[in-house]
Amino acid sequence: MAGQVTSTGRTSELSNLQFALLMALPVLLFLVLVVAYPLGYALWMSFQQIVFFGGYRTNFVGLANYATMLGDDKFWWSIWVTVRFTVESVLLAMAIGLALALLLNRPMRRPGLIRTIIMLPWCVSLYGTGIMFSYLATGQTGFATAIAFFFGADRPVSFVNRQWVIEVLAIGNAWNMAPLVAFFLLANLKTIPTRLYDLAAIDRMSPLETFWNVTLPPLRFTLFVFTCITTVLSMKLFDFIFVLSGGGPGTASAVMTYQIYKISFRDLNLGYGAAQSFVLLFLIVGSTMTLYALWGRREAAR
Amino acid sequence: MQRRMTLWAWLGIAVAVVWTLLPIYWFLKMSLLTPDEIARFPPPLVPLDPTPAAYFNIFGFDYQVTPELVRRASGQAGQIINGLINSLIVSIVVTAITMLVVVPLAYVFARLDFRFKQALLITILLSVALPPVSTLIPFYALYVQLGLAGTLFGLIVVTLTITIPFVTWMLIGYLRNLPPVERLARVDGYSRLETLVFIVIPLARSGIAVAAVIAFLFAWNEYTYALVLVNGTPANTLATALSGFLFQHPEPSHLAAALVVSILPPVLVAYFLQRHIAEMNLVDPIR
Amino acid sequence: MAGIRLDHLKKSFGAFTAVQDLDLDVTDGEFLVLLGPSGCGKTTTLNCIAGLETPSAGRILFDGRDVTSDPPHSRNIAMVFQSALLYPHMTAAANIEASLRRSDLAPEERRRRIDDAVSMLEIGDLLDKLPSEMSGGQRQRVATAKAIVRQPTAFLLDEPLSALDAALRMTLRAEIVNLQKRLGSTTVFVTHDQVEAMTMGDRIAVMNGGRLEQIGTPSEIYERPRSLFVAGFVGSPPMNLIRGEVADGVFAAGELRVPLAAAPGPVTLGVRPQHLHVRAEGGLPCAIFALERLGRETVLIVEDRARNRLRLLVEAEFEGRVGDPLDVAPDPARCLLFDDASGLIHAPAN
Ligand SMILES: Nc1ncnc2c1ncn2[C@@H]1O[C@H](COP(=O)(O)OP(=O)(O)OP(=O)(O)O)[C@@H](O)[C@H]1O
Ligand SMILES: [Mg+2]
Repeated sequence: MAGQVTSTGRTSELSNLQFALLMALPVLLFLVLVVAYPLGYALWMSFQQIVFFGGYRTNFVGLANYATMLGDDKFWWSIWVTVRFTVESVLLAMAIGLALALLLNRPMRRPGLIRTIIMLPWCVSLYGTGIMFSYLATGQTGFATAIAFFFGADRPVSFVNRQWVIEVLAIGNAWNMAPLVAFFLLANLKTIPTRLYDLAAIDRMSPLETFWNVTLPPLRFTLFVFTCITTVLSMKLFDFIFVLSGGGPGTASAVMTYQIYKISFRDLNLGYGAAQSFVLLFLIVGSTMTLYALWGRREAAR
Repeated sequence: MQRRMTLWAWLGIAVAVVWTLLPIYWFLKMSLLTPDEIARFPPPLVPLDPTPAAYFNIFGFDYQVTPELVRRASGQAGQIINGLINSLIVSIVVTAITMLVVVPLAYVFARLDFRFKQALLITILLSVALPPVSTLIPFYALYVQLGLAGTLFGLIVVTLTITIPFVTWMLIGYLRNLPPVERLARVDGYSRLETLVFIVIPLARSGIAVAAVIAFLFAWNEYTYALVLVNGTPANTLATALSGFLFQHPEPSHLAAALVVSILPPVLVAYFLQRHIAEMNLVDPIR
Repeated sequence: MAGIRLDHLKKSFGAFTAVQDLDLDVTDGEFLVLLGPSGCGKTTTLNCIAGLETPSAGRILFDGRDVTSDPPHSRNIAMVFQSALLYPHMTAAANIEASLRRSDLAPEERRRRIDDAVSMLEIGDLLDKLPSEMSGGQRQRVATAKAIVRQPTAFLLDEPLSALDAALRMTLRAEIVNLQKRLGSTTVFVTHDQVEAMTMGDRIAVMNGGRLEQIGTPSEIYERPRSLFVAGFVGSPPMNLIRGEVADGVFAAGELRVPLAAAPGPVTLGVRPQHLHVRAEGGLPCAIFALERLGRETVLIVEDRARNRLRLLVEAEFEGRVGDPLDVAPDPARCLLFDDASGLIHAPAN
């Protein structure tokens, strides 16, 4: 009789690590390869001078490419443009995303339709967004021009100029990213019990106080996560800027990714491009880590 | 008071809808304009004489506007059709492989504790942070050597390097919030794999559906790698075909129509899945 | 059915030890309650018995057979989790059937067991519902049905009633005990509610800080708590504990004097509220601090001049108001004495 208990078989289970490795190892190997290989290759390139004309040659130049950067005005300019573009994009995307989420959280007629409309920009590719905004913002074909003429102006209104091109880029980028932010915030908003709003009403909180004390706390962590995500996405953005402004006018919107593209593919200075792309990678990792240290750690501890 | 609140809410929704739709409208309008209207300055606010000619042209058909006037098929039509098919293949394959791979991966990171977990998570995060412009040349060099440049297979592999880390990262947060059903499953004698297949996946279908949409959108909209690896080859995607309009021979209504067409598949996917998105919840994968 | 034995069980999470050197014997067919404050290691112990956690040291024996490294399923236990965990995406019927998916029962036997459980717990009309569409009590019944269809070696129940309201808790308390006696299955029931423990268990094991404080029948635990912790934790309203000193056969604390034959030294006197009586005079002078009328009786909370509070049980019709002076005195024959180091040192000889 005692043996009967084991009739279903004493199947031994896999340990956590075994199961994790079984599930994840192939993918992780793939990921490690696709991270390690280009990183390693780029690292190697950044120490080389690569020459195409008169026969392909590589010369080891040590840190010369990195040293060149220090005195390269275009490089420093591209950092400034990248930072300006990223900060504006993130602030806009987060603010608009939050506003859209709060709107969508209200009871309304045809919520499915409105949600789908609000989600549309997310379906448009970044290069598509770039094309749209370039037509929308340039003087010849732009919306502003059409409106201005409608009200009797006689000159085109263009925003794709040295002064405003970064803002146009940031707005377009935020237009594209905001729905993603909005929908994840909306998912969080849905978890707030309505009782809390009743409580706030009983306590006679003003709308602003209610927002601050009831609505915002459960969103804070998601806000942090998406600030990181939009920061990373904005800093590594290339195709959108490439089609919208091509880094111009002049170098007004030459962000680092564009600069790297130009150095590598137009000037064919692969070593120098690789060196700059390492700076970009450190900026991206550095800014997310800074965000985590300044903000995320506090939120995670909550 | 109540009335005024709803008025503000409607105003807000109206602003949001205009903000969302204005760029799309501007392009939709452009795709419906006649060549004279496009050439006109200032640009018209609405198409006075809307015509679907551009939509026929980009798929290789002439369009009879009036008995005398025919708008000719676009020279890029072959590229567009080819690109559309390639993009569909790449996106569907990438989405399928991504989901197959990412669900178990995100699951073990979200629900199990094991050694090296932090280090492995950081690998994933790092691959999210890698800018495509930095990895283009290494990939290009590798692909030329392996003969993968200009192939759909090659493009699928690179696109996976974008979708897998990003989608894993999003899904980890979602899976962490599920109730501890694994304990129940262990008592009921489900093996680990059975728990994943029969319990966790059906339970997490909302989040998984959303993750699939995200993967699809990333794959469909990928441009940077396609530009370098498949542009001008038979493996070109819709994205590269579109940029052909932009740079080679500008015919704005064709460009606009092609762009509008390129939005349709993701919109269809997103429409069917938007209700899941509102149900999904995200927290931090690191915590 | 089987007896369960824990042999020097230890479970650590990193540097933190949740369960320490635990010896426990559950006899065949017994209803054992694991009682203790939150965080004392009850769930951890239960998870070790179930096989959901691997012990850091020690052995677990079912009927003398070492099962320490067996996976949960092959131990043939059934578990009801804290707050009645069910598969959220499955109907009640599917949840119950999932319990039997690995068994090689004939289909008729399978049907019969499920039907029995369904009628026993009266959940026939819930079978097509999802857990999210059920009330807490309904979920509890379904989780119980899911457990009993397995006819397991042992039932492990982890605070199954803690999420329910008082009335439902009472009903289910009786139902669970009744069911256990009918099935005669060995049961380990975890709770931090001492009323639940007293009313349900054949024996109670009181845990504190990962250690076993005392194991015994409810009346043993109640009448002769072996340590100050058990004395204070078991019983409602709780036992009065008064620090003082014994000298010359008299316990003294402030103005209180109780004749007790015990060795001299600093001790703590324990007296249950029903053994503290109101006296006209000659007791400890106190004033009424609060009255809690329970209907059948009244709990009187009084304060002596040093502002120490004592609880006593008086009849329901007790007349008094807050602030009224009165004298109280314990029944010396029902007093317990505890030593800080060695626990119970003096108890009435029944
Ligand atoms: N996986 C774990 N990792 C680290 N510490 C843990 C883990 N599980 C439990 N602990 C710790 O072990 C101790 C005992 O936990 P356990 O869950 O057994 O308590 P419990 O007696 O069931 O309490 P409660 O009545 O609140 O359910 C707690 O201090 C808890 O913090
Ligand atoms: Mg517990």
